[in-house]
Amino acid sequence: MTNNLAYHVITAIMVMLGLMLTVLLTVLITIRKRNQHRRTLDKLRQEQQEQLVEAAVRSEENERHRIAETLHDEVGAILSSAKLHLLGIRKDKLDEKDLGLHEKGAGLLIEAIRKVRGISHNLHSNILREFGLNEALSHFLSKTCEGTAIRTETALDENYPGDPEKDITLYRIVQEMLNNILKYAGPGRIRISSNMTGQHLELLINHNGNGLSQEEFEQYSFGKKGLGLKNIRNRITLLKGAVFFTKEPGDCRIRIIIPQVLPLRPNGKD
Amino acid sequence: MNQLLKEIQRWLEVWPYLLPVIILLATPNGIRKSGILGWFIAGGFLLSFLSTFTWRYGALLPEQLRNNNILYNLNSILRTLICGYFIARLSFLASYRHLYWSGWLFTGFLLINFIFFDSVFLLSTRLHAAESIVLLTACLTFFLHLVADDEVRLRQLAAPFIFCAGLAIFESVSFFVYLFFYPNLTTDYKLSKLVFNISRYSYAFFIIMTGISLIVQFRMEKSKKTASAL
Repeated sequence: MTNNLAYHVITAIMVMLGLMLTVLLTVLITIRKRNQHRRTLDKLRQEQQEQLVEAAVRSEENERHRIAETLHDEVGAILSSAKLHLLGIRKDKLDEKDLGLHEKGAGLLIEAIRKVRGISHNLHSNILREFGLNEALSHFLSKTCEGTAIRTETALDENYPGDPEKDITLYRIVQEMLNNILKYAGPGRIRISSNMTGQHLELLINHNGNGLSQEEFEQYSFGKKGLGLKNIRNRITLLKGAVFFTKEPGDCRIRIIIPQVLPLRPNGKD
Repeated sequence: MNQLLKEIQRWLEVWPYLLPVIILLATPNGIRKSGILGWFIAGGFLLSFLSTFTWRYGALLPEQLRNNNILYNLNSILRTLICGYFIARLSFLASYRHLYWSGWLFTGFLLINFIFFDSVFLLSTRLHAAESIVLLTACLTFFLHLVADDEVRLRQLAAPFIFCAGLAIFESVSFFVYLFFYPNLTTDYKLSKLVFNISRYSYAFFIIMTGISLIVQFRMEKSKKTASAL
């Protein structure tokens, strides 16, 4: 009887302890499984979002390509033909008034051809395809600031191996950012530099205008306005990169970090 | 060596408190940040120390101070009210009103029990059993909520989870220990001592878990602070 009671008490304690441990274990396993499920769902959602962004960016790129080709091959050809016809008119048979009109028309036509070519090149950069990102960025910066008082400078890392898929996206990001800087910040100088650090490409845009802070970028890119900034954010997401805005008096910085996991080209300088 | 180990075992209900006490004192503003748990640790430490001291050195004390049963009863009341309040005050458990009612029911039970049934100078098995029921209900409510709520992230609730896990294990062990304390004591002293020791070990485990929960809580607060500063 004596031993029986103690035995029963100890058994009851062990049963209670076992039950409690089972409860704890069940709770932990349930939460763990739920978290795993949630992580899988999040991952799937993120992948889906990335695919959507990628599709949007790609379709936008294709559309740019198509417009550029149409402008260059069709509108450009018509304008060139019109120029040939216009220049074919014998000037000696024109009176002074018509000569003036002819000169004016020819001038406007040449200007139109130049503009169409410029727009077409902007939409579809041949330099990027033929000479790579560094050359395309240098060319774009100098071309954009041509005829203005803005001082430009580029210091791009030659070790960047290049990746056609990423380069076009990066090029568009910088293009959009430079357009924004010129439009809103009113800078006196712009500097673009890049640096390959380990497996990352760091692209830095410095200017002395009235740029954006990180908070302002977040606010605009997630807000209803700021379509350009939204595009930048989408493209950065697509590249699995990050962008950081720093605003200090007289020096604004935009730091873009892109993971560069592709191997270096065999003829690369590294 | 053997004597030292025996002495350590005798003070089993006291030295585990050193972990939470050191954490509270070593952390800047630790006592303030710990909230009501700080009171539980301070009160529990004092009562456990006094009860063990009375047991060990009772012969040196005046006759009326040799009884440590009242200290055990007081510790049980302190544990029930503070731990129950701590769990009931967890923001996501606010909708479980029975946690508040159980506190009032326990207070009512205390009055009835000590006025009509038990003496405060004797170890009240009813009190300890009631304590186990109240606190096990609170802990199980907490665990069930963790399972039921899809939005719960264990990482955010790691500190209360560790505390409740320690408490639930201690209470599930001590429920039968105290319920059959007197029948055991009268039938087989040696075995009753062994059973009581099981409860003491689980109590030490609970206090250590409380210390760990404080470490986790302070670390999380620190990392939150660092993240918000960045």
